[in-house]
Amino acid sequence: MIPQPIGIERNATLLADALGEQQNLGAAESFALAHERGDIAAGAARYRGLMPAAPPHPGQQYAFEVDLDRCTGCKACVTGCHNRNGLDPGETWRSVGLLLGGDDAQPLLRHVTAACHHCLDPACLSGCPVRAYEKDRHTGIVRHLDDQCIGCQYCVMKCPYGVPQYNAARGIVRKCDMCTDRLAAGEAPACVQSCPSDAIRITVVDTDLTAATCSERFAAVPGAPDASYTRPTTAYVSRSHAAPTAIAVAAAPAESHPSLVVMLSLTQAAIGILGLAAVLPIGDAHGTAISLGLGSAVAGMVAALFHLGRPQWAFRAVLGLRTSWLSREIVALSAFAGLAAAAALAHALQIGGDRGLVALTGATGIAAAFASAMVYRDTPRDHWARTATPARFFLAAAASGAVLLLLAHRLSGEEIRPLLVGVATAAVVAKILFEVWDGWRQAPSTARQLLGGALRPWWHMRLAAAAACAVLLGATALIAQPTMTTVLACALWLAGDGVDRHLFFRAAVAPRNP
Amino acid sequence: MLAESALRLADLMLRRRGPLSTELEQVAGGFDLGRIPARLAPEELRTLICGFCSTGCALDVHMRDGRAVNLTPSPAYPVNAGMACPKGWEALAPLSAPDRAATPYLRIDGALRPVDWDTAMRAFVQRFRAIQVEHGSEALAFLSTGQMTTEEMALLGQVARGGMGIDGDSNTRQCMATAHVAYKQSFGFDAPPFTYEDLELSDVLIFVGANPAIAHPILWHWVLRNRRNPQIAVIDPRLTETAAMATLHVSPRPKSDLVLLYGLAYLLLRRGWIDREFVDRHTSGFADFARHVDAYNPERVCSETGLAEAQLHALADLIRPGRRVSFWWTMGVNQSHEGVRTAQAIIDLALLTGNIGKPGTGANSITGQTNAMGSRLFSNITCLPGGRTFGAAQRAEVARVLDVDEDAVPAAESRTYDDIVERIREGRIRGLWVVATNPVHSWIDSAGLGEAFANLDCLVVQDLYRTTETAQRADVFLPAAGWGEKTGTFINSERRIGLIQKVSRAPGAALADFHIFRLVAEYWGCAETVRRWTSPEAAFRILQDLSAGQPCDFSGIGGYADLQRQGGIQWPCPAGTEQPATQRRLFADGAFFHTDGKARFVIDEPRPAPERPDPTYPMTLLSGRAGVAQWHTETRTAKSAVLRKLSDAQPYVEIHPDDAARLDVGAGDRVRIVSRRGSAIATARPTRSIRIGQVFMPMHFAETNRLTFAAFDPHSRQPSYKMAAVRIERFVASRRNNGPTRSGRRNQ
Repeated sequence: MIPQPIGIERNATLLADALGEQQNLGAAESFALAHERGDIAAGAARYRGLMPAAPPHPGQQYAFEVDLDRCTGCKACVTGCHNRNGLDPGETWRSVGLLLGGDDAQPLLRHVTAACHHCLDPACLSGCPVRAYEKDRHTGIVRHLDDQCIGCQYCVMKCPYGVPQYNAARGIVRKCDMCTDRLAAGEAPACVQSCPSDAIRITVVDTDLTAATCSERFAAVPGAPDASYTRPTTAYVSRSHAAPTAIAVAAAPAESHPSLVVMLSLTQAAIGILGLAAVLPIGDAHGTAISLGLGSAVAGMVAALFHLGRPQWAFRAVLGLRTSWLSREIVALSAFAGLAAAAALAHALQIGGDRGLVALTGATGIAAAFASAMVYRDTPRDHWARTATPARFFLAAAASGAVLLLLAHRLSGEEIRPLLVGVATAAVVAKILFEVWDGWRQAPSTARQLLGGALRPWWHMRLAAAAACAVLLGATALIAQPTMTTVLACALWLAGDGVDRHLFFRAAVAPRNP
Repeated sequence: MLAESALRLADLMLRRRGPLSTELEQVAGGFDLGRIPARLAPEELRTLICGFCSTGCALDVHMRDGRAVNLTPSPAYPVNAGMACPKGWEALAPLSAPDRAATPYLRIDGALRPVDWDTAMRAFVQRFRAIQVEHGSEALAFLSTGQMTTEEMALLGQVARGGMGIDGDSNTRQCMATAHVAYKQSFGFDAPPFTYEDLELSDVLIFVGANPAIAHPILWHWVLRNRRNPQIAVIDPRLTETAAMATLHVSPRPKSDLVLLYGLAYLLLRRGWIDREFVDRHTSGFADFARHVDAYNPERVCSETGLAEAQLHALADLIRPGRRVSFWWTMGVNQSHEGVRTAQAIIDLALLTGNIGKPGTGANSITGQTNAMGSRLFSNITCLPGGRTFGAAQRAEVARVLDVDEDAVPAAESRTYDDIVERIREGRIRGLWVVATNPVHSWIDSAGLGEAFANLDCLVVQDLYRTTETAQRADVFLPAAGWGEKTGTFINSERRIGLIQKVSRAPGAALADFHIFRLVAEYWGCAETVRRWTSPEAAFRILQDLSAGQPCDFSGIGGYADLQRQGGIQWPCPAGTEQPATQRRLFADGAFFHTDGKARFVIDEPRPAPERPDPTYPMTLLSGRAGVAQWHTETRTAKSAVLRKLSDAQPYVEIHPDDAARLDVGAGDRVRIVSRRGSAIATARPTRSIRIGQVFMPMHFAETNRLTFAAFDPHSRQPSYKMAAVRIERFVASRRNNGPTRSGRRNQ
């Protein structure tokens, strides 16, 4: 019934021809641009007016200036930068935010294009443990040295504008360099060239701008991070005087860093046990305590290596000691682990002096915990930039250390002393009370909202682990040979402490460009 | 020795330059590119018209080692002068998506399985033939697109309508049918009169239902270049990005724009601000028009549009004599239950004030898809090729040019999209061939459409991706080559014909639509009717012949090479045209295309929208384009990691803060939007850019069209996407899902 298509062979020929033609990309098929063109960017005549007349003099630097009245939110700057700079798929160095606000008479809809603000006090630079940032003496451009970077991502936490972008495939951070190469050749940066609205220009500013001036230059962008932290140089210009109040959008949880969670929990436990071992009467559990402390310290530091994009260059972290708390943390923790190893060796060889070494290790550990806390305290994330951060870390050290000390006791066959149980219970309760008080009352509202909302399951898990741990600790005082109970209490405590550190990262919403 | 070691140690400690930094190091790239990364320095540039919207920007694709490695917008092209929007910049990304289809597929035992072309084509033809034998040709249809080249559209029209004898429509019905009909009735031909330079030469620009700053960013570039200190008015219920930058924004009630436009005509007539000489010499129907608008006094207009009288006068003030006034409209007008008459009311205003045919004037429809204009002229659906009406003489003429029997030229307009969809739902259409469009997502009131498609006896889908909502339901899937993998031409909003060409190899056995249509003709047994269509350029010559003597005559173009050399050529360009000017508008001589040479005033009584808010569904749902990084149903734009980053991942709904407060909904909270058709969950975005009582949802999320109300313009059959009654409810999720829905990534 169905008429058969005719000419099977013709079909085959047509198909073969089509498939052949489809793959032919040859010159005969193309209409390539016939004429040679030169090295000067085609838009040069247009963008000349968007560039400074002369490069910066001493005491001056380059800066972005954005005319918000011209920015339509078309985002061509983002893609122009991406293409002209040959960035990786999905990698963007510019962003465009949207501010909504105003009133019914004058509703406000404002797009804000932003990239690196090439700050006068760049926090990325001061925070970098390996000196992978430099601020160019002549141009003021904050450049990132890709080959120096170890991928610690601390600059991502330090920058109040969310500028440095971690490129996981390469294991390094990359960021806007204001098209340094182009500027040097007299060419406009990619974003300036790509903006159909001429909304972005390059200007020259004095390098002695005060924080107040920098803040004023951001006045048209409500909700921008406090300019006094880094003194950004970008100016946002608008003829509209209506100072918009942006409508707040509920923040999403921030990124967690599992390796850092493990590192912080374990190194603090190590610091705690060795610190407590130096001051509490622990008798024959001394050697086990040193071993447990050393083991935790090493495990924590190995975990930290997994956080780095390029751990093989981690030794460069000594370079940043002068300005970077991360550098100080790495050096102090290394010293701590080294001293713990020395103490363990001294104890194993029974050459004496190990008690003194433990005391020294404990003292170094306290310095390291302080450095750890300062790594976070010294960022623009309001959840971290509080005294609560050192308090959290020291309480964690005390509680984890005390719980581990109980374990050391059990493992070395010592009788559990009521004093140690008392110390452990007190430290654990203190830490939990602190967490509850901080999470419910003290933390910034964004963090509290997250803990009560999206992060609530984690929060419940943390409290359940702590409660179970407390019950087990009580049980250790009643049971005759509570080895398993102690191991379990320890494991629960450390897991719960890890969850606390996970929440510490996730509840810390990062400030960012609009 | 020691110094050397010290240096090496220093380098180990502080590495200023190395493989990672050289990756981004730049060289002067030649080709007027300025500095670009050395690893991407091109050996050759190939210029293509962008394949997304109708602005028609040209992109220079950078070729290196025979591969497309990057692109930059063409600096010398008259449309975009070195600029592109993010979609254009990312135009290469969709080609290398992992879900590109590299082979045909056939549904066997419920699953799509790879087969060779011969098997797929036989299945297609045999199943369609079987349906035809059992149910007749009217049980078969095709749905195509405004995204193919004109050559391909014309070939599809010839193969399907002329050869196979089946009806079909194109998704240009969803965006441009209204403008097409409005121009045809008013001017005598579907002839958008403007050239982009008019944006730069106007004293006053009036945008009606158009948001070019976001929807056509490069057109907005032209507005920003206007050095005449222009007054810019935007008529739109929402404060769009364009409205935010306008000198005057008026927000009438949704779908009250026809009343508003008649009210403006009333004021202009009262003030005597009309070009009487032009009206008398070049138009017909003025007396009826004047009588008609006499009923639209400010009192009535303000009461029906919700505007203040001062706003009405402020708008009228702009259109004073002596100023160059241009009117621009897009989907806010076209997608309406009375879109054609609204577009014509805009045309009427331009005619009334003589704002046509002169620099900086015109009643100008900004087109949607990249080649909607090609579709309007050559897809063989609403007119015969070349914009001819259906008639015996025209049919004979087309048959002569094509060198086919008159039987192979359709005798009447095709069934319309809405009719086809209705017949699919009713089971009267049993076989459907979908080419480069995604109706399961994009069609109005789409709830249940997917199931209806799945119930077809044979659904053939021809697309780049096997993953679209429509392709997932296919029985036969034909893998198509995309933009950048084929050759042909597009026609942009200002009638400029431009070239696309190959810069990349299609994956596996994917074929250009042009090849596929020829294969269909061959397997169907109607290859004789397309014998002369041997290549895109051969087809282009046929189109030139078909255009000869028509208003869209472009027989004077010297082939593809000429298009490339001149940087696109606007129609008309009849044979013998020497080097046409780069920017040309129509009607400078006041000669329109009706037989009397006059343009017509067309009027009608406004009708209320078929669905309006009521106590159960008290709010009005508006829909539309939301960002620059998303295109329609996102089959392509979602393939680019950068474009994904620049757009919202989750559906959201704009709502006035007072409405949000009434519902106890904060920014980022989830709400349920309920219409009589269905419901959707979206994140609330409180903003004062939307009026109280209205909400807005982007069309890029499939959820939106489960809510829309299927009303159509009676003349163009274009769906009215922008008016539906809904109810908003606070969405209370189970505790488990209680987290914020806003994605963690930035709204960049």
